[in-house]
Amino acid sequence: MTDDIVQQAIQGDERAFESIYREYFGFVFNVAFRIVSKREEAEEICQEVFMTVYRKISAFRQQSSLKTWIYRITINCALKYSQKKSKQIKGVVEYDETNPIAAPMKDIRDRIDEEENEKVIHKLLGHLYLEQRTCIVLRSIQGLSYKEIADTLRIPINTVRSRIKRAREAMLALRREAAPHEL
Amino acid sequence: MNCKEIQELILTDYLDGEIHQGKKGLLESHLASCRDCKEFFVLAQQTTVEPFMKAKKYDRSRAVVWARLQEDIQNEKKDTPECQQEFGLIERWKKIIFFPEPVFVWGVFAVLVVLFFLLSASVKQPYLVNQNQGQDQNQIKQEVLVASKETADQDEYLAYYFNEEDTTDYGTSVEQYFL
Ligand SMILES: [Zn+2]
Repeated sequence: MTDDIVQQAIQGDERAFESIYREYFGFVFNVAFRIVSKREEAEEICQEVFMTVYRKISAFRQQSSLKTWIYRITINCALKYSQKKSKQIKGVVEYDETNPIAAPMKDIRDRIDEEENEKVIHKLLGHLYLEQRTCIVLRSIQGLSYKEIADTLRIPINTVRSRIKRAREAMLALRREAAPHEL
Repeated sequence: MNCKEIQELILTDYLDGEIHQGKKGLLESHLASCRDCKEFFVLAQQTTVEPFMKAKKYDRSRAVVWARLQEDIQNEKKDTPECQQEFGLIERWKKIIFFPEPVFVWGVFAVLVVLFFLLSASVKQPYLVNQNQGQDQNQIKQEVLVASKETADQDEYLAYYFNEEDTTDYGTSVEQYFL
């Protein structure tokens, strides 16, 4: 993402906005999906995030990077959404079987492994508090550094570290209490 | 470092590659000699990191969401006030009907002032004139009030649309969830 494109988008250029969409869709959608666990909901969040980007980019002051700004909007929307949802319905979200992307070229065994792994992820994330889950998604799925997570969430690095630590302790505890084949 | 400290470090900085070179050397030499910590490391890696590294990256919704965004953007453009767009026929009519209202009120005011002077000059009964004058002034006052209120409403409406620059800070609301 060049500064030129960001500048053009700030001035209202729609093709520049499309470039931003192309660049950040993957992050926004996948983070939203891991936080809310449903494809349809992740799509809604995604839509809201990019509409916010579209509306507010003219006011974007480049004090933080565009990346951090979009990351922050994403987390904000996803958390708001899942808090609203959790007030409506209690309990764990069922694993959404309709989610996986079609991968016709893949070996069937790989696909089964992939499916199994998706279920494991779903179970692990579902076991975590929202703020722990957010940190794990950003760190272990999206590969952000502690510094990047701290900037995105506007919290100290040590807070990021302690959330990740507690999240992993919780996952290990889950592993110990569950039979290995269940996890 | 004792085993507890080692394991804490494993769970965070070591698994995430954030550990400093010096500490890393110390930790790895401990792992080479301590079976418990080595086992802990392997288990932690397998349980809390590997599944996520193999996580699928979903891309199927890309086109769907883009199409919805295009729709939203078009709708939003339709909703922006006429002063930011070319005037259509409907907008033109709206303008004609909407804007002359204050002009009309001021016109009535002027006619009433003229009428008042004509009346006070021609009518010879002072009592009646005074009464008329009082009524007229009340009416005028009310109409001026209505007129200025309408202009104020209009100003507010335009200011709302012109002042689109919203500096909402997303950081602060994120913090709410974590504090
Ligand atoms: Zn040890």
